[in-house]
Amino acid sequence: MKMWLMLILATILITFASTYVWMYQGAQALADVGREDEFTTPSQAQFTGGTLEGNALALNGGDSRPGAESIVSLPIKCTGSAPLKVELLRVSCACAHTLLFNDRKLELYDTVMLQPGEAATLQIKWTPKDDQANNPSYRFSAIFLLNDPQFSPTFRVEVTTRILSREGKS
Amino acid sequence: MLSMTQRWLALGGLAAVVLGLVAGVHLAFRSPEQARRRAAPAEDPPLAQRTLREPPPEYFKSLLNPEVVLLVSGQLYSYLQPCGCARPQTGGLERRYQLLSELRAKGWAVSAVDVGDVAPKANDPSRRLREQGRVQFESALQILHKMDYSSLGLGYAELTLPLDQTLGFGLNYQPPYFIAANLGDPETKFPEMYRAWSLDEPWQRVRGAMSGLRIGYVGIIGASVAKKAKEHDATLSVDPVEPALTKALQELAEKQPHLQVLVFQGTRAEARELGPRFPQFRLILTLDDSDEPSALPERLGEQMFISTGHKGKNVGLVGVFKDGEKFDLQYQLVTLTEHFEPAEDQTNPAREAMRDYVLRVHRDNFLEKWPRTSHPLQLDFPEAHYAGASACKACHPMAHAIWSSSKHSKAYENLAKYGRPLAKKDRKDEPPLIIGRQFDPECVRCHATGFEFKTGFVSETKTPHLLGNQCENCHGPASLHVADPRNPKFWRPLHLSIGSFENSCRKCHDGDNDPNFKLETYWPQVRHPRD
Repeated sequence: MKMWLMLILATILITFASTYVWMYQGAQALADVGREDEFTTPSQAQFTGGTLEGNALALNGGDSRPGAESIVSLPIKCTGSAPLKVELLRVSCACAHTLLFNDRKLELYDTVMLQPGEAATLQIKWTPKDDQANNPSYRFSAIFLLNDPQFSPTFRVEVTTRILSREGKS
Repeated sequence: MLSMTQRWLALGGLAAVVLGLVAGVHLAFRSPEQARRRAAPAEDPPLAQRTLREPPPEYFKSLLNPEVVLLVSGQLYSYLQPCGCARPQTGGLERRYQLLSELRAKGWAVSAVDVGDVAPKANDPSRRLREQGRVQFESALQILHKMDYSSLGLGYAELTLPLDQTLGFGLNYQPPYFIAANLGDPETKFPEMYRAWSLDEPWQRVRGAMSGLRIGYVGIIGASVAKKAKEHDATLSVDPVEPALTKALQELAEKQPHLQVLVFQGTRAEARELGPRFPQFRLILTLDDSDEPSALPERLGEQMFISTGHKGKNVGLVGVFKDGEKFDLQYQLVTLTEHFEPAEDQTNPAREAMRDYVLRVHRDNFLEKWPRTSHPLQLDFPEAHYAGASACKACHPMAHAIWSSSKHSKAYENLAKYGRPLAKKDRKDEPPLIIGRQFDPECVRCHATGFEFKTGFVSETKTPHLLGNQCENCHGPASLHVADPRNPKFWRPLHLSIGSFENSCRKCHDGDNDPNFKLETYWPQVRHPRD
């Protein structure tokens, strides 16, 4: 009987201890999130390709067609001594359905980190709708939050594409 | 010796310990990423908070105070309010006013200029009521006047309205002055109603400052816009661009402007050709091919070319900085996000003008004046009319139940609550009439049934059975099917195929009204059986 009681007590104790550790770790993580927002370590981003001016980078999306997926890539490297934080804030066109950061799909308000020296590729995929066909210069953009002060408060990647008619239609 | 019960209890206890240990180790040694997820709030923060996560812009960061800031806009097409219904929205004249106030509060001298096309587009199917378009145009001019705009180009949207009306509206709200150096007036019908150029001294609007940079604006209608406008109105007189520009520049030179800006109603390609022949212009404002503008200005030698997109979603800021004896121009595109939305309890002159506009839309009863056409189904069956969702309920109870619990069924009543409704009381003993956007046909077209078609929604009192976004908005007017349910001649045309209904949705959930619309997300909310 005593043994049984001891086993129950041990179970309660272990469960209590693990819950405590779990809660403590959660609280720490919450505090870390708060601290990150208050104190953003300066970092540095380097982009390859496109035309960069001020807080914006323009990419040529070439030709695209309604119903067909097009893709444009932007290599990014963290050249600073601190990690580079990238957060997706807004995309101006629902046609830009997928943003990939090194194969990880970015949803709105998702954050990804690049460690110093680390490189990644941002891919933007879009599929024009039929009502966007025959547009000689269609532009859309994605707005990011970076912790590189050079690109604060927001960084804009804009893609310009010529939308042709749907394949097979003149 | 332990009894059988004790053995089982001991075994159970041991299993609990093992499980506790496993769970404890798992919980204690999770990755920080997992712990972070656990620490995050269980639900996403409300959309309002998330959309405001985008920080406000910093103006001309790391540079000293500009000598002058030029606020550049264009191609508003009378989108007075933020463009679209579903959040996040961008644009709106109230927000533009707020931005202007922020800049002026910094003590900066701001000169505001618009490229033109303030009036609604002539061929926009969503804005078919010309009378309402004229009221929007007048309201927009009134608001630009309150914002101290200095100059305004004359675009195709203005030139497709009767010119005496366009310029007459302009005269009522000067400044801004319409500028078009090559608009001819051989019969002198429009004296003082437009100018070739205008001079702005923004420092005069900054208290205590009597001197500062003078900005000269010259307006020109490019060849492509002139050609289109003449096709619309053959009596229109538009002179060749270059002689008109030369003459205007000579006149403007007498006023000794420090910076000359060309307000060019034409394409970027045309402007690129013209610009180098008139190097006096450091800044050339052009029309935008794209709905969304580029944040990167185009530079050719000393000249900067910019355009700010359509529907007032963005404005451009050009900071003029002194660089020795010369001026350096810095460009910044500002998207009018929710950051610029005045608080609910605040107002500004643009918001006040919008209240007047909403009241006028109700007073002038645009809802009933909207031109109605035949639904494609009514071309084959002219006697078909809109029956209302209640007529569908008896045979399609499941579909009706799903619709009833969807947002589509409440689309009309939600309009009444939209956009800070006004309470209007004509008589003391009557309850006030709440005026949201439910009297605005441009809104109602997507919030009531069959609004744009014959026998469809007219008003809350005349067609109460067609409130909200009902079955017949997708399926078409169903009265013949209601009267003869089993007749395939009448039910077949109402049947929608998978391929066709997406276009039905997109008539309202378009890129402006619902930028984040995804059929795969929305469809499960309204999916219904045939019963």
